[in-house]
Amino acid sequence: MKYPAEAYARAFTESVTAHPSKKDHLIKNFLLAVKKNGDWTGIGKIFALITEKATHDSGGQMISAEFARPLSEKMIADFKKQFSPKDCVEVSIKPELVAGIRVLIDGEKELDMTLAKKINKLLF
Amino acid sequence: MKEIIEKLKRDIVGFEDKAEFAEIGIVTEVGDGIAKISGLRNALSQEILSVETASGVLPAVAFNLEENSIGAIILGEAHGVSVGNRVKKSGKILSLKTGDELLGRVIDPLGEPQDGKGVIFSAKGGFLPTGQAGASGGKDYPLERKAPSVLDRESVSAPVHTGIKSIDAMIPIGRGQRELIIGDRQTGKTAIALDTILNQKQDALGSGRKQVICIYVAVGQKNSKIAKIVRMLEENEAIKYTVVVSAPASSPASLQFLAPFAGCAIGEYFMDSGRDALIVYDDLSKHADSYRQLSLLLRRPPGREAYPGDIFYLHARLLERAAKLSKTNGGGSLTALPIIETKLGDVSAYIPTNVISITDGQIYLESNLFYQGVRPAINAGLSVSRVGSAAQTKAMKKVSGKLRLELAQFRELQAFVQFASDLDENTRNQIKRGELLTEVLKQSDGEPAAVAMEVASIFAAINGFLDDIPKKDIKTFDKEFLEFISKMHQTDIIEPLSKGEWNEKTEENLRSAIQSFKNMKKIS
Repeated sequence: MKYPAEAYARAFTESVTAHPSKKDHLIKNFLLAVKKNGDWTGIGKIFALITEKATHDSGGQMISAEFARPLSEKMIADFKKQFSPKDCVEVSIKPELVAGIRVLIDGEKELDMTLAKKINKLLF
Repeated sequence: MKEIIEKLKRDIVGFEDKAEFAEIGIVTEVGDGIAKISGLRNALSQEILSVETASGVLPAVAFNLEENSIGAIILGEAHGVSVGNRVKKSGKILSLKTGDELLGRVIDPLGEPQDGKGVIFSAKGGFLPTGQAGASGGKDYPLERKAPSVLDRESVSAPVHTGIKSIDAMIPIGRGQRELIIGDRQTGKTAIALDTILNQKQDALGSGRKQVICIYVAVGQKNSKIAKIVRMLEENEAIKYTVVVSAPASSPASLQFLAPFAGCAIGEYFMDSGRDALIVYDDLSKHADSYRQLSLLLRRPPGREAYPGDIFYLHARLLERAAKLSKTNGGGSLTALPIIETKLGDVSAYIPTNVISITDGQIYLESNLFYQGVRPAINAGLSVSRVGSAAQTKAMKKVSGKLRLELAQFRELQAFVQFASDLDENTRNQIKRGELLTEVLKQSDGEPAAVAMEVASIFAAINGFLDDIPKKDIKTFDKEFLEFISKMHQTDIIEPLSKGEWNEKTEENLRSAIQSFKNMKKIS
């Protein structure tokens, strides 16, 4: 990448915060700039960082929940309700966890209640 | 089978697992043994991290602490690490389990045995966080440690005899000194270090000097070469007092980088317990290369010859840990023999000049001398020992002063050797004496001489006893003479010389022994 994803994310959030009325125009130009710089491959990472920054700026947390088995829409909705509306909750399925749930907060703190962890702890 | 099932049941029943938040990091990038980790903002520099991969837990070391991430070097094969792997802190900095159990063993820089002789310590040890509980039989020593301060040290006072006549006489090494062995490839650098290790066995016998524990650190060497060295140590029974730290060329750069520090930690264990240790870093050129590789992969800015800016500090902090401790600190010592390989004799390259300036002297080996048959190929003019002469024994001092002078005069006249017939008699004699001394100082590798033998041999040469012997016969004469005095003059010559004692009586005994041997040779 020509510029690091962090720099794009910071530039975007700062400009949107400074000129909220020009939001649509800024988004359009931002995407054009990323494409022009040849950094389109990193757009996913840039988007994740923008989401993270926006969530943190609004006082929320990034929650990533990994379940061992697929959940119904209702169960996912019920799970998301447990958190503050400011939080950004992402749910994913990881069969290697065998059973249970693993919750990661802001990429730093983790609550691991999976069977895979218990088995590993028993083995090693 | 029933017992196993019962045990398993008991384990499961007694298993407790509290659900609690843990501080973790996530691997965001990985490649070439380097991992970039997000999170873990409280990690310490040089802290051990555990990377949880699909195939088990892999250790890593926090190397770069950046604003939003950590650059870590993965210890071992990094194939199992993938993006998204969880990383946990251990709260411990990199350390190695040390103890007397390491003697006679070949280990990797993480303390894992490489010689197939089984586990080293009774309980699960090493630096892994899992190995902490209940570990016994060994002491954890950090790989990175502050060198002893000025107040903790004292001057070098006892010698480390290498068993090589030219070194022990002209470039003496003291216990606690750092003496660089430098030279091109295939000039006998490792051979000098190995002879020194072999010589420690005979040097401790009957001399009153303490046995020197040896540590040989192989960095980036061929596996076959390391195997050959280990075999040689075993055959000569030198492995009993030696530890080999092996990070061969096939091992990851991270392990090659850590190997000298691991060896140093082992050396410090022996030094702290009041013993004398000798460590050979073979070689620091390859160590610098491995550090350059890691630094460039971690995107640290490159400097001269693409080495990172702190390459001098890397070697300085390693070699500063060699010391002679004061009596109040146990009186132990750690002598370092770093090896540097030069390219086409260029000692002014970056790493050689760095290490020359850090060490207390250097033994300079020359390809030309090596091919002329002067082995060890030591260039006595460019080699120097800055502190070792203070540690020389009285006997060696007595003979070495004149030897150094005679060889220096010979070097000045060496250019005129081919015109010898046109020179005056005095110059011719000086050249002849120089050639004779060069001949006496020649030694095969793997045959270190006891210090008493070295003194006797040099004494005979500098006092003109060998002047009437043809150059081609000197080696044989020297060998037979040393056999003669070791058998016939054990108490009156060998014993005092082994202890480093020198007085008129010893000198007289030595003179008469040489004369009687010469007479005996004439008769036969």
